[in-house]
Amino acid sequence: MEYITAINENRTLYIEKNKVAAILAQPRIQRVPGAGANIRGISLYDGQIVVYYRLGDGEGCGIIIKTDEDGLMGITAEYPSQDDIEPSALTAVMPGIWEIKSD
Amino acid sequence: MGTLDDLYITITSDELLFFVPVFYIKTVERKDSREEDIPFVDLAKLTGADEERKNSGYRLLLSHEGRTFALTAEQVGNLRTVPREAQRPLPDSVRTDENRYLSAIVPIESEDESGRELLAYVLDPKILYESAAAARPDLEEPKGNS
Repeated sequence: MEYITAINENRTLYIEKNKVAAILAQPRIQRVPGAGANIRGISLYDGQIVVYYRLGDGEGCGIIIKTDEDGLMGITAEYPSQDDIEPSALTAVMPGIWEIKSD
Repeated sequence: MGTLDDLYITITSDELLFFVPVFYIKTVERKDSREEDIPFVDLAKLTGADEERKNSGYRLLLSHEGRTFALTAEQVGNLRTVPREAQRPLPDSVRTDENRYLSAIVPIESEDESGRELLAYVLDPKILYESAAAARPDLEEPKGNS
């Protein structure tokens, strides 16, 4: 199965390619005062408010992901890539977002 | 044409933009160094601004149900008409007990040369007043005495 990989120094995430809405260079992400530690911030994309989640430390690009509820969410990465990997090697992080099983 | 209910004043803190409903504002003044003598909210502190940026140069006196309280802010900007239909709810995933004072998000066009859209937060004076009164109950004035 094809995945877009969000590569960070400390974590690599695998996003189902058919769920990726866009990959943006240097997205303008704004802090949300009082939001939980798992929230990096919010941004506008195509007229919609996108919540960026903190999954890794990268900041170079934003990957916008379609959610099951017809919404959008985002994560950041140092840089994106593409990979073909067996789903059985992965474990779910969030809907549509995976990482390599640790065992 | 907008009504008074649609009119907001822009304030900034830690590079974030906030809208305060004009309906609640009594005065806007430069902040001096004296101690606050009424309940107050420091927006920079409330929004978790960096320690270096906690420099609130302005003081807005707001009135909620006959009680006056102060909101301090880094900068005060222009008046802006923000119709209700332009306001979006905060996504559930970012809403916490810590940010109940943010009542909505408004996409606006940046005033810098980038022209990119950015997001402003609408402040809820009722919740701000609760924070102010809770922090300094000794300073709370009797209702209607403003």
